[in-house]
Amino acid sequence: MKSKAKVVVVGGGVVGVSALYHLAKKGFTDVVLVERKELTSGSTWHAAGLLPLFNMSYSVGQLHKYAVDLYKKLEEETGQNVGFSVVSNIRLASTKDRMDEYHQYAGVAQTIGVDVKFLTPNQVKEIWPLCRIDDLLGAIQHPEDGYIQPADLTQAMATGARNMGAEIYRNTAVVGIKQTKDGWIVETDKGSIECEHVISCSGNFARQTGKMVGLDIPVIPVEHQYIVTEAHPDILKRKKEGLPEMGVLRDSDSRWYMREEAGGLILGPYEDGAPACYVDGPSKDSEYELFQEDLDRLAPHIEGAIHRVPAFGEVGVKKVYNGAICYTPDGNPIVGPAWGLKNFWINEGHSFGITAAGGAGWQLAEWIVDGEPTIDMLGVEPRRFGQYATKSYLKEKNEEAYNHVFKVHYPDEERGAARELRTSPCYDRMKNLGAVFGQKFGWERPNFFATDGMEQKDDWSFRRSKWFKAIEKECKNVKENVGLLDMTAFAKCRIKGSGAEDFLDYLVANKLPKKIGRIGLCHALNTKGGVHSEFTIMREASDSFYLVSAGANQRLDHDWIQKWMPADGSVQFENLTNSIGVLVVSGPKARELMTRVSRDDFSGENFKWLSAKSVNVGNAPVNAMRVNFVGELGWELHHPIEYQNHIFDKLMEAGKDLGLKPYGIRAMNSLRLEKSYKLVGTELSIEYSPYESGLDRFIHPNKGKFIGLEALNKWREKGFDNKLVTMEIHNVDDADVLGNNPIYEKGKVVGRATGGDFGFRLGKSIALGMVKPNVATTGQKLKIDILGKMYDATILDESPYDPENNLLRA
Amino acid sequence: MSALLITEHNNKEIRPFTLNAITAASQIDADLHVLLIGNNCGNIAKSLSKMPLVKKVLHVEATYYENYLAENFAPLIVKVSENYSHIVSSANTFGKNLMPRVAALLDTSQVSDIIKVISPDTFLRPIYAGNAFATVKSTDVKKCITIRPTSFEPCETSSGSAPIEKVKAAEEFSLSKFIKREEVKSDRPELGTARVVISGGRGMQNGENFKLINAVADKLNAAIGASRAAVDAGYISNEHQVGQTGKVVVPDLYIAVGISGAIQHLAGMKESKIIVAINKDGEAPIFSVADYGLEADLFEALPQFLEELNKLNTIQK
Amino acid sequence: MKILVAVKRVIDYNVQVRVKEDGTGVVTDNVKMSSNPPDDNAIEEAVKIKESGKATEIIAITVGVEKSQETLRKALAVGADRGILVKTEGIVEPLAVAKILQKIVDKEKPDLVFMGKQAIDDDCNQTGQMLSALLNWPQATFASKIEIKDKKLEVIREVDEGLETIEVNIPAVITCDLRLNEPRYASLPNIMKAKKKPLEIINASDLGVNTTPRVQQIKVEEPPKRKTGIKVANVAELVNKLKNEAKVI
Repeated sequence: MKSKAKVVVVGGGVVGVSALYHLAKKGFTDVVLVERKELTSGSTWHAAGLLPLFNMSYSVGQLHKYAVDLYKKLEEETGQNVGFSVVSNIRLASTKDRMDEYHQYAGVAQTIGVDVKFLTPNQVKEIWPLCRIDDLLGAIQHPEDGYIQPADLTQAMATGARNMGAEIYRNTAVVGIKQTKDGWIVETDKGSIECEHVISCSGNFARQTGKMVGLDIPVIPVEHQYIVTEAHPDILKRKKEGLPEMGVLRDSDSRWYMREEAGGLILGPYEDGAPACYVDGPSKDSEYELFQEDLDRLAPHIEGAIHRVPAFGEVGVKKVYNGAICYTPDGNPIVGPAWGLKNFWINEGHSFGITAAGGAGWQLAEWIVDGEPTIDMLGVEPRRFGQYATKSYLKEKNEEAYNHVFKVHYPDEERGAARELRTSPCYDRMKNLGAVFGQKFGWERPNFFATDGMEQKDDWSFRRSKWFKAIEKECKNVKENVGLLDMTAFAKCRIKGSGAEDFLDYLVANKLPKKIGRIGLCHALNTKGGVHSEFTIMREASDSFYLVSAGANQRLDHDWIQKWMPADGSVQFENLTNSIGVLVVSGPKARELMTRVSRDDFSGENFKWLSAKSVNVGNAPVNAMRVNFVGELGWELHHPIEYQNHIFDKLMEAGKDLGLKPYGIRAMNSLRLEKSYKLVGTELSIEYSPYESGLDRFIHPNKGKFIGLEALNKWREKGFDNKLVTMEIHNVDDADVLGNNPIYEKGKVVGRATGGDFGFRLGKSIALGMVKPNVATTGQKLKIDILGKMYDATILDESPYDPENNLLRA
Repeated sequence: MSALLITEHNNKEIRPFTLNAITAASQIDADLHVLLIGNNCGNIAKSLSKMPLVKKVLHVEATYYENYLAENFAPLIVKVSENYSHIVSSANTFGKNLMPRVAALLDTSQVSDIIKVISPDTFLRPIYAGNAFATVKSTDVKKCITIRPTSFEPCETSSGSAPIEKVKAAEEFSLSKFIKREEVKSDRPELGTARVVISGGRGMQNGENFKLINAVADKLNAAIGASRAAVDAGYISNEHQVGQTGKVVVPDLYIAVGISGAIQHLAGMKESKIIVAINKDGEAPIFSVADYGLEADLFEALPQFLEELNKLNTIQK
Repeated sequence: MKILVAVKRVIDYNVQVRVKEDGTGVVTDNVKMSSNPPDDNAIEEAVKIKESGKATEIIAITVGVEKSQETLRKALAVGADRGILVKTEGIVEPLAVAKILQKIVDKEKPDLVFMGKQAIDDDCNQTGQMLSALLNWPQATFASKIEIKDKKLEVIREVDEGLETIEVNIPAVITCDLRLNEPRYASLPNIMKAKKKPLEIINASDLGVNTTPRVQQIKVEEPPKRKTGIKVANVAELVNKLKNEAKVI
């Protein structure tokens, strides 16, 4: 066993072996993998081996696509067969919402280059004669999809890795991981290995591995069962006649997958009531472990399966496998850097590990070797969960993620487990005003307010639903009067010290605000010149700055900052997220409102746009920042959180006859789109240069060095492939653009939408999207697909609502 | 009190494992008597008396004892065992069939298949197919014990001179009748119970090549197994599949040829006494359970193997 | 004819059994359990006899903890008509099981009693023979073929020498070997239907049987570990080792 290596991969399932393989492929051949027992002995060995290309997430979809393509080539490269049966995969739909989901997904697929076809029920029958079709609306098929032999796949990649010089140590348990100045020491029961990077791929042992380095990894597995039947004469007959295997069938509405197996069938449901397992980790002796089956809780799905495929009920059950699958609170894996630790990587929480292993290994290798991934990995980012993901939270949420695998993934869904976890002080007040809440990073946030006799509950859909009218009211009130928005969930921090200014200047591409009390919108690029984070930066003093960014990205943004901070102590970081509340007032009457609650000067001359002042609201100290995300006159009131209700009550009292009404996140989204305001994760991403995203005036390539400048300059020379545009969608009836919709010109895909909504102030259905530069001119006519229907679209100038910004600068 | 061993024989000769049972029984109690029940088995009585560990032979004759029906033997043994504290036999089908019947009639909780005598009332025995060993202590006054023959050496067969005593037969049990007995003739042993198994995997590349396996199987009188991959690929039919969804086998010798050793296959054969792996991939998982691993191309190794086997004089059957 | 089949819930045969660190037994917590495989053969044989019209009722019986009902449900799914659980706690020895079964036989008066030849947990291979002795019935152990001939059974048994054919009067106790038949798999509809078949629960103490073990388990330990294997250089060396070192050829 080596005592030194560049990278140590902990865990020898398909995920760990793929990471090792991809590192070696990228030229890091001094890499080793340590496996406590035998390769695949955790969850990989009992996986059903399915390769679903279907995934609503842009990141995950790309990872899956890469894997399916790779697995096809592995035999040629390694000489080892992986048992890939490319039998295609059919997903059935029996409800309209399901078809909407498929159409929305098909848009995503188009933009990633995944081949998906819509099938009629009759076409389903041709491929799957044993399937009952009379109650189906339709289906989608992935011709490239299928299933694979997990153990063979893993061994093939292991062979590939070894051939390139990587080493694998089996029957070697990691007992400790210690951080050193330059990297890590991985302690095993057979000796220690010094290394630069560690990748945790330990599956069911994720939390135990994390504990070794002080990380609370948000992974707890859940039990999943699948039933294997004996052979069915009809299937054997098909085999004898040389007919093709019927492919993987997924009855989404009945929540199961089914495929052929040795002449019989396998059924794998995702039922309610599957418990989390290994909550405190598996025992150290566990390997190849299975749990007691529980067919009772599968009963409704078994009935559904027999209804759909009567043959399934005609044959005996040979075996029921019940094994652990890793889960995270949202069902997507965590692949990327660990927070707070340099060169410690997490590749855990894989619920579709056989498929995701390929792509995850690919991107992690790029991240480690080249310094950055090439695709937007936010969907699988380890830092998308915060400290709030406690063990008991995980148990609830992960069980929920499991039983949601086949539930319709509405764009506006807000799952119910472990809610009311982090609430801002004004939560109850908002609730009494009719708030229907969603959560972001654990924080409850009003999504909209029930009005006009509406029930105070959500209504999910891919189309306009009950809350459309509610946000129309909210948006119009912001336009005519003044609205109140709770943005306490914002990520906030203070950067100060003698080196603070220089550090921030290097961190972001914009010039920092010069005067004390001035605010600037600044972007931190990654080393390849893509946009990583967006900050509102206010200069508090010559050596102190207050940074605000999206609440969902708190851990991500703060980790980014802290990892780039110099180690010499000249810069100090203070997280203020949980100690500062934020209430936003916006609308033409905002000034009047503020004058009523504060003795301070809110006049246009003395409180300019993009400046901040310490004021009192009522008797509370407030840092009023004249900035907002909805394009109206308004202020963000940042305050020590304990004063929130005092401020809230003062505002509500004073605003009664001004028409002050609260509004929610969904209204905010409609309002910001009318201003072409961008968000990290949609319009802004590491896949796009800031220039492509229309951030030109926030980038100063000549100001001096900053992260990503070199790469950005090279990129500019090379030329850009995208341009962000704002579009009006014509003749929309009941569904606006959601995002990821493919955009066409003359029948060819020329881009994808990044977001959309109905703009109530404009009275138009609008969308933002990335398109090829040659079709990015104002007035250009394009077509866009919304849920399977084509609509005409016209490119507008940026910020179609109040393009001169007269309202916000009032 | 002393020990009584039930002799296993076929009236013409003693069955070999009786010798191992005698060793075990005398470890329990040096004052060992043997009970010989049969028909025209006087010669056997004489052979038994010559064994130094045997202190006395009790000889019972009756025509209906010819075929050692448990229902006949049991009542007799119960009567004779009045003077004994331990009743012992070897744990092969004879003893397994007979001893529990005796134990129930004596209202005693039998201890089966012991592999070690720790003291007259404490024994070591395998449980869970030998995956665990239990040390057990019998609290019954009379103890019925069966012993695993391969755990004890066969006893000396000459230089002894024990007295032979005739004992009266018991009544015949008329509800069971012996019809016949046949030595099993087979082309090949059954996979599930074969002493030697040779299996082929995906490395065989096609069904035709299994003839290389067949040749070795013929030579070793082995059963033929296969990995799931070989069966899936159509090289051989599925009743040969060894593994988690196939058969679980525990032969004395298991030879895995061109099999990588996926977990599902190991589950079906890892309890084999001796495992041999022949595979050209030195890192294949099968090598981690193999007692003897040969990293070689099976298409060369198999014919060589056959050649070497042919050179040997005798193959243990 | 009425057939009583005794089944046992044991650790699934695929599970890698682990010895508890304190040596008091094997780990059973959270371990997958299933029906004892030779008992599956017993149930299958009974169902086949019923399907051939020679039996009218099959009763499945198990002696064990409350969860053993799962094993009865499986038997019911495959074709037994009703189940009886005799509830006990802790280790129950074959002698006690035989006495319990004797009480049940006295009550139910079956013509045939089937069970697997041995349980894969304790590997005792005693219960059938003991029950037979207590009832003073004929016993046909390690059955690999059964033929019903009027009021008798002709049974072929697997013995060391080969195959032995015996004829026993009905009623009789038969213990089954794996080669007796190919146990069928229960279809899901049958598994669901089995939930509605009658299942009676009795306490062992109500039957007047003392289940206190007479054989004390002093300790349980792991067998000696499999020695790490070696790589041989060539076929000649392999054959040499197999013959002279391992002595298996």
